[in-house]
Amino acid sequence: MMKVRLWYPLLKREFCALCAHRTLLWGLLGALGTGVAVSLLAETADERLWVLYQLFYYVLPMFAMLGSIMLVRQDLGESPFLALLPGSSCARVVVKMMVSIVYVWILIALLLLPSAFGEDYAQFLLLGGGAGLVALVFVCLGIWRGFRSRTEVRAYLGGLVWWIVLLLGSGALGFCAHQWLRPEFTPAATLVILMSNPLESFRIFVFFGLSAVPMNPQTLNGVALWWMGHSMVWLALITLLFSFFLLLRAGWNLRLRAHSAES
Amino acid sequence: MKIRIRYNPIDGIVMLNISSLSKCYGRNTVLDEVDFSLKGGSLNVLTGSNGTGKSTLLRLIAQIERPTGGNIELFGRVPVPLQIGYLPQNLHFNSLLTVVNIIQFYASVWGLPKTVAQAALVRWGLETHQGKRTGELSGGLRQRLGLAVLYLRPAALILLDEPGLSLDPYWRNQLGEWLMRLAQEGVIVLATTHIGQEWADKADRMLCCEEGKVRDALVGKDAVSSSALSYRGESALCARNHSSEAMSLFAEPDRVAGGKR
Repeated sequence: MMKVRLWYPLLKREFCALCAHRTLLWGLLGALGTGVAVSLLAETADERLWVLYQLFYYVLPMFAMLGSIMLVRQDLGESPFLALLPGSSCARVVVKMMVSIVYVWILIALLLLPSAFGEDYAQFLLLGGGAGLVALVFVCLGIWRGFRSRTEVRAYLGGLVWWIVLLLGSGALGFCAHQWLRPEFTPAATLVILMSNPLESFRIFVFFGLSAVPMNPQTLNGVALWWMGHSMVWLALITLLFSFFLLLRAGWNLRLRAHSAES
Repeated sequence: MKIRIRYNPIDGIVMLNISSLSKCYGRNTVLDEVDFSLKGGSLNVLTGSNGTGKSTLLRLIAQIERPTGGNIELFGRVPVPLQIGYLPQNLHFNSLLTVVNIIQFYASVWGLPKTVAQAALVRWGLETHQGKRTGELSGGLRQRLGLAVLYLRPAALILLDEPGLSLDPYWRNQLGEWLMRLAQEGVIVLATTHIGQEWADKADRMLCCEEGKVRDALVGKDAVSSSALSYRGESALCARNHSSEAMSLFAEPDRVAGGKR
């Protein structure tokens, strides 16, 4: 009787690989430097929050996605061996996600800590929480693209296309809705487009959940009002849902083409 | 998770049975209704020119790819990946991990102590390279690391795709001896190669993969008869019952009359 242990050895292996990855280690150093620079250059807590939000909205998702693609592509050549381990597809996808997200959360902490030091840290904690959830989606996106694409270049290009779609797609779709739909349908369509995008949900959370940007409730419908009031809950829901389906797709793609190195 | 490996080979009785196995990639048929069986405790060598489907056949048997049609049975059942040890042709380990990281990972997956992992490294001459990252290893060292991983655990069926290609003569010899010992212990070994000559005196059975079919090429150690073997460029045409002498032409194609490269 042979006892097969997969999860702990896989976790250990992935952390070893992460610790040996120079680019990702430089990323941590860069995050710490950026965090210190933000805390020194921005004068008030609100300014620091605003700068950090820009970083979490524009830079962090792309970095999280590229980092997870890097980690996935590292051992695809070993797939013929790994594929013969029992239950390896599911374990490999989940362990990759765990290691990547731990790395990104450390990155977020390094960006936040210098600014949060000595301040009312609740705001920074909420911002970091929201950023961590958004990063989870992009980590899962990177894992999916990494396992799905035949070549490394295609994995990175595919990931970047998805990042651009999520970053600019809602605006483009909202513009189209405004142009082509009848005026009475435009607010509802815009709402659906924004709500279904985790990156836009993060933006709404920061604007209305964190910074309390002034708004006129009379112009909003019931769903929009609920969203403004529960933006953190919605952000958690939509990001976890996206992450779950992306991981499912990644597992499916890995099972379909476990032998990517030779095929 | 505890898994019982069905590992009860009976020497001389058919253990791996392949029937009507086909594999198509789009309109390209790589394997067409392949039928053959392998006995327990036998060292089998599959030869054939490039692109004839040798590697595809191994991947299908290893359950890494799905066949378009047909059946593969090991001990009368669909093989479980745990019963199979498979060494692919171009194996690349995670380039960030060291040799010792890799071997200890597989040892810990199988619940084996570090001493066993170390013994596997020593067996394949990797103890002096254990601190190196796998990205720094040459093709031959990578191949030996793959063999060390295979060496860790028992398997009922060992599949090797061009196992000696990157190895120097000493390690090719070591590989041959190890595979012969495995066969003596009852394991079914199936290796692919372009160089039939090296295996002719070791193999119990030589098979040839050609035009999507697998045929008997010669009976390795027991070869008594000889027949013509023509070699045309990179395409070796295999006939039944080739002798060791004929198989040497795989390695020395220029010796064949009329065989100009």
